[in-house]
Amino acid sequence: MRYEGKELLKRWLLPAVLAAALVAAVVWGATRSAQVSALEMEQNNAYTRSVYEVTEHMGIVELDLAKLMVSGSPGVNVSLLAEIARRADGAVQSVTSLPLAQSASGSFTGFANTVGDYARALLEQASRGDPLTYEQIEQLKQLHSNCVMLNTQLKNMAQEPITFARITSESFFNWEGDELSSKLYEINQNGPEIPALIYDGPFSDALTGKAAKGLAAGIAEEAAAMAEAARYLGLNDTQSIESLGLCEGALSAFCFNATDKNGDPVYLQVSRQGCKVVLMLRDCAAQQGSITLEQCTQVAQEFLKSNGIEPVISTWTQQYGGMAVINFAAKQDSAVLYPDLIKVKVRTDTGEVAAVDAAGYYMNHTQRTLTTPQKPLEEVRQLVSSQLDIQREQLCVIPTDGGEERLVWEFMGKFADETYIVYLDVATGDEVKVFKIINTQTGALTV
Amino acid sequence: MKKFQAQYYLNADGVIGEATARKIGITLTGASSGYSGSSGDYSASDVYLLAKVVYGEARGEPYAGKVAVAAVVLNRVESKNFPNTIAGVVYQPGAFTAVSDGQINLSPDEEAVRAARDAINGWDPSGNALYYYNPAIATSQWIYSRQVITVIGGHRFAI
Repeated sequence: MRYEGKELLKRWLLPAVLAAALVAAVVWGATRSAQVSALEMEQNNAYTRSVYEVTEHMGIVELDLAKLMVSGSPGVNVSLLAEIARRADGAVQSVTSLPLAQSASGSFTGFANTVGDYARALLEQASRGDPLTYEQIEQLKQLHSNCVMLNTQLKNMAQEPITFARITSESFFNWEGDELSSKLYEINQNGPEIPALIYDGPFSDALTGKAAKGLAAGIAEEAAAMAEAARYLGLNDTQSIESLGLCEGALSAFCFNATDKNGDPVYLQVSRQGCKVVLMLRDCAAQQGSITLEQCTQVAQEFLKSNGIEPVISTWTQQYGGMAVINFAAKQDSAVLYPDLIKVKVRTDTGEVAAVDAAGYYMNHTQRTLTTPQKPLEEVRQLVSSQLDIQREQLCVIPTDGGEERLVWEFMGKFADETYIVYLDVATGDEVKVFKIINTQTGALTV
Repeated sequence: MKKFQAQYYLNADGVIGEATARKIGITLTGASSGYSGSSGDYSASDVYLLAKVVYGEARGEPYAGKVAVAAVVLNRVESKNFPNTIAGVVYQPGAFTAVSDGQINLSPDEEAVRAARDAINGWDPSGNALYYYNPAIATSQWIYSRQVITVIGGHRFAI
């Protein structure tokens, strides 16, 4: 019987189990395959939707650009410009959700963002009731004609089914060799001129390649830069310093790895021009210590002074993770030079300087010709809403997006427990910008 | 005068943005030292997302290399050729390997969070780079055509 039982097992049970396993595998496989197909379909639909959205958004951008050129009313312009900005943003969002090669999506994104930012800049002007200037209409004409060219291509592209294979192919959204490609390149490089006081937004391509104003002439050799790094860290020699080669950013600098007195690794960049430490980053975790923010600020200020950076004023502080980050701006007479920015991170447990970023300072610091404010402070203060409980008022230089600077009165104050900063141009008194400071649990303006 | 005040009556025409803030040296991250990311605080979640990118992409890199990777993400947010939000840049299809292969979902360590914070506070050892790649594993031919600005650890940083 036992033998028969085994025989039975061999003959029937094993094949039955195998057959069942096979059926299960086939069912599982078929289910997975169906799921994958469904996912693929959904993904394809999402991509297709994005392509159509781009087409739709850019169509409206084109239409509204055209309307804008013939509209003489600032009121109408406001709504057209707002719509253009919104649609351009939408187009950027849709296009960047597609799995395109950066070489393909970059120029489109650049164009759409340029149009959007330009519209926002003009919107500020239009909302003050000012009409478009002749130059601005010329710029809009140029943007419009490029938009027409772009939309022709987009429409052609959307005529055939959008598939994953097409989207990921080299030619999708890629007009290299076409006239459109060179036009988009030109706009992205040069862009339209910015009319007003704005600093957000990506107009910054033109800023690269600027000379550093705060550094003395003369190019340092690497050995001198290394010696400067050692001095900066308070080391007696350069034995623990290792050269990492160059950093060819806006400021050309030698890069070093060093080990400080505590044995912590430190990364430094020393400018070739002028031989100054423009960036220092110490790799250390700090514990929450007993050193106060005022003491940290003092430490940072002394440290800057010992490195030839003065006078400065603390403008903003932040505390987290056992560190205090203190931002300083250079001062000239009574004016705060915001572009000349230095950030210092100080450990609250040991009181040591953990990191410094002085690139802004060295890029921008120079003696400014500050025009005497045409309107006295008392008069300008009247222009600030009486609702604002002013806590600080000062003259300051702020950067604009075109890489220019503007002398403004800054009023910082509270309204309904929120902090606002109001800027008024000292020359005209009417060029104004209001900022609301958000999220200040860990950060604080220095009042 | 009345008209003027009405016009400018605290209408915050520019809630201060990250880029502006960075330029005038004000940082707007409201993150506390914990990084749970569940606080509902948008800025805290930004720090956390950035820290995840750092951890997924550069956890074996020196500290400056980690800060540089986070800085590249922020430089992209500011560049007009890329999306305009941190999440948009991070999740742009194909932009970061750690996002494509899911390593972004690992929990970042303290160092990654610190590096993300430093980058948000303006430290940028990459020299304003928009790209980085590891020459030992990069397969895209196109990336090699970008101008290299600096090398930190295993990464080449480029524009």
